[in-house]
Amino acid sequence: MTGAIALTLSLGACDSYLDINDSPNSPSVDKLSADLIFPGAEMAYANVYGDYLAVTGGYFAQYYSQYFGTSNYMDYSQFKQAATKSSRAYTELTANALQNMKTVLEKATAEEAWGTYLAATVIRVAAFQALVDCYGAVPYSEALDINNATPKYDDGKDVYAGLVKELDEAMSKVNGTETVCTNFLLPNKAASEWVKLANALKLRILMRECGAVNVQSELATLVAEGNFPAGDVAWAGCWKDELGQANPFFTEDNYASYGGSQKNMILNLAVLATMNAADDARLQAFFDPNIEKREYQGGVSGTNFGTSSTYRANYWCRPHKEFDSPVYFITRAEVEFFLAEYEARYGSMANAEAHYKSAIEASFASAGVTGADRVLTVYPFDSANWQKSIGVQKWVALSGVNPFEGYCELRRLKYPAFGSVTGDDLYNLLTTTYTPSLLEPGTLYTPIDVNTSLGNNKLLQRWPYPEASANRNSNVPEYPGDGAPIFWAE
Amino acid sequence: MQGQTDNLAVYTDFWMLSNGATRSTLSEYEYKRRLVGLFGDITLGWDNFVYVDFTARNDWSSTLPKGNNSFFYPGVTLSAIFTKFIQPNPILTFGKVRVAYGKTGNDATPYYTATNYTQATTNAYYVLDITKFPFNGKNAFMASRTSGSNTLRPEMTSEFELGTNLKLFNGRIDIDASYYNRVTNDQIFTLPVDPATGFTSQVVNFGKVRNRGVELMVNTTPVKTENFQWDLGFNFAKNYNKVLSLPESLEGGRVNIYSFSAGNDAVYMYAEEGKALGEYYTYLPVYVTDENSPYYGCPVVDSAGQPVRTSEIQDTGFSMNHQWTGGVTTAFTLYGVTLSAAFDIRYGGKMFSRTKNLMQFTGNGKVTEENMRRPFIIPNSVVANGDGTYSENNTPIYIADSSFQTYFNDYGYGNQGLAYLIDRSYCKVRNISLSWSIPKKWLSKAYLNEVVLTAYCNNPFLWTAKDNRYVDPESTTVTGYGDLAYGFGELYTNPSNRTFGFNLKVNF
Repeated sequence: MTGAIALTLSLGACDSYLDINDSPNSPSVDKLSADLIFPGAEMAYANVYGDYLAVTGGYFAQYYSQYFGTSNYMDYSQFKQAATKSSRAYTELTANALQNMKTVLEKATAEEAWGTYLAATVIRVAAFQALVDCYGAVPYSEALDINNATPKYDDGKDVYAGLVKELDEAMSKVNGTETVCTNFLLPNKAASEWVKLANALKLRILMRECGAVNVQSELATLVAEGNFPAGDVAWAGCWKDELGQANPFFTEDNYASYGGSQKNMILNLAVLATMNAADDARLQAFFDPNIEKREYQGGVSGTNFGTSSTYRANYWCRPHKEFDSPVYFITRAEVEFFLAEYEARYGSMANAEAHYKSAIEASFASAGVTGADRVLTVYPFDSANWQKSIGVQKWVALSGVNPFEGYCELRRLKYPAFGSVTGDDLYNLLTTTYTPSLLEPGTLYTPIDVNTSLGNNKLLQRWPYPEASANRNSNVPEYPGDGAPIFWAE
Repeated sequence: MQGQTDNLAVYTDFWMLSNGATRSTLSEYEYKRRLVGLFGDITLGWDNFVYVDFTARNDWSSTLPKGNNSFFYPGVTLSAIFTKFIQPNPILTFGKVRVAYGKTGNDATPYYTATNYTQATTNAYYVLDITKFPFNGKNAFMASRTSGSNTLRPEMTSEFELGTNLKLFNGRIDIDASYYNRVTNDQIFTLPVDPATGFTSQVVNFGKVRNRGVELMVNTTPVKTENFQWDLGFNFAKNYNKVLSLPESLEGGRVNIYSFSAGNDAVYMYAEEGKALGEYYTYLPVYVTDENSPYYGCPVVDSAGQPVRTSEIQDTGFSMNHQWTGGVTTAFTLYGVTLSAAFDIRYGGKMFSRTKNLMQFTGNGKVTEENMRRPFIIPNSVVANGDGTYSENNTPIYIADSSFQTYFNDYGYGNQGLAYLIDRSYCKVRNISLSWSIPKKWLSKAYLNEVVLTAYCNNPFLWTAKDNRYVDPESTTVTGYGDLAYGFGELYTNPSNRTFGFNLKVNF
């Protein structure tokens, strides 16, 4: 009897003796506040948006082409994307940003911290929109549940509808005075600023899909309220000149102590020709002149001029980036361009023209240069072809600020359109003859060695599903092809 | 606790953190595991002829979920020296048979039962930790990419073995042969999952894997005289590996054990139910499959003249497992001087080689000398016309427009992902050694019992398969995945070493 008691007692003690499997190297998630999780998730999104998506968007929108002698992104400059290349970005958006924001949302709900809830929703919605804009479909309704290892992919259209609902729901819970947890995007700002940002994001989502889905009444309400951020919203002022602390685009392509040899992006002839036609001062803000003659020259998509003896490293122009360059979430110019388009579609052309002018002026102000009037003279608002006016100038404005958004809007508005010359006309690989004057300003050209599944005069419309998902998830849909437009570009 | 600093002033010969030109980073990690075991063993023997041995063990581990952390594993061995019942004869001087069945249990690595949090960081395509916390004066944590499991079970291996040990001619020939059948169940493994789940891998119990085969070892002494002896031994083993079942969520499917991807390529190693563990999958080249076409069997290229690949990864038919393994040992002893050598042979199987692929990218690989680097059109290649027919390809590949490099780097010179796989077979001389046992009569004056001097060379020679001019197949860079992924291959491995040494053994 005593033996049995002794045995039971010792077994009980045994249980607590073995209860040491909570890692001492990890804080307990119950004790972590949103302040300690939000910033990590937020910067994961900022990193993907400001670096990987900016680089790929830049090449696919013909803002960038490949630097002399390097070849890291030659395939992007030929409008090629592969399943393996976007996997890491996909992982950072889902397993890092979205997963950790989910934890923040749970904590904010439990504490009824609706300001934090709104901020987390804004980042979450932005991440999902980026995923749809890349792949056309993404796990959404079944995502972020480890018990479902093979979540189904939801159509972009359904995801967009869900995202708008999420933003509305989060905004309805705040009155504007609530505080928001530690963050770097709108530090120390109350929920009212986040509401403005949420509205701008909602505008971007609704305007993106308005050609494919009837959202006119939602847009009317949103535009009538007019509660948008007055300036640019960006991650700025939080960067330092140190590895791991600097602007991610700068780190990957410029940072001397990391990748001095990693120079890849140069100014593409397409955007140079368009800006030169209007003597556009933003060129100086967005790109550095070349080392050879302090001039601006444009590279050609699809080649790195590797076999040329004339057009070498010092001939080309690098994007202007510093360690503390902002990573833009959304700029005032983008909001104005959307409003211009809204008016052109559903309102008055006079208002559209006014917003068009404000957009270009806002872009100049953001770049810190003057001379918007020259651009307005050469590229005036044409109400007969407003898609072209807005398309071309929005493309130019985004070239130095938000290349991924530029790539999305280029696919949607379909302007600038392809011109009559191809990359092979502009640069002959065998004779190394370079004839940039052939390119008509405001047009695109087919890259040299272009992606053979696209052919001439076609943009890359979507990306293959990321390998990290496609090779582990049996519910990945059939890939419709590089030329199949995302639902909002149909 | 661990510290790191960079850019030290090396010439000062001062090896402390304060010598770095970058701010030192300190990290700490604590690791505690408790395993309590209760073990019992009974051996019974009868008449120096039959022996029975029972073992029983129960372990309680801290690394398994609370309330479910106890596991029990017994074993039994029965052996009989059957030569007791036969006439003593000069040929079969000793013979023993044994049969055994036993289980072995194993627990997990610590801290796998829950999801842990680490200091937040994020990765870009080329740069890891591109934004790392603490950042801008603030700290943050993020969930680990591996989801823990609170329903983890211990691993359990059951093995059945049947063996015999025979000595012939008084030990001049010694034969040991055995057959084994080993089933490993519930191996604890981190399973890669779609990151949209919020994690990139999940801790699971793997399923059932069976290894069964035969092992044979023959040691002989062909020549034995008063002063000279020659020992010669052979060993041979053949193992059959098969995945019997997979985790519940992937019934009948496949599990990716390990993979590598760079650029447009990806090579995966799968565990698939019904097949051997470690089957390679990758993007394969495309050939004309229409038997009626005049171009049946020709490689298909695109309009740029480059080989077309399958749109999804396919089974290559190759696996990481050797077909058989064997070895030879030999030793000559003359007047106390022994010269010995040991050979190992492994035949069959493939492995992944990133070194080979990199040599294609840089142009160092011999394969990149194709056609002396003059322009060429891929032989017999055809282009799809889009309507099911094909036409001859006329687009050359040449250096000036980088298509030559692309042909090697992105398209595996026509082999797509297969270009990463090399034959894993090898024959190695593991060891050659020369030793001298100093005659006892010289030692007794120094009150020494035994002194042996040995000079040896480890890993002196290696012969690899014809298509492997790159690496030692034994090198692997995949660690941390238990036994399941070690066989994947190598990623920028260093050459293995040939070691020379000298040994002195003294017995007082």
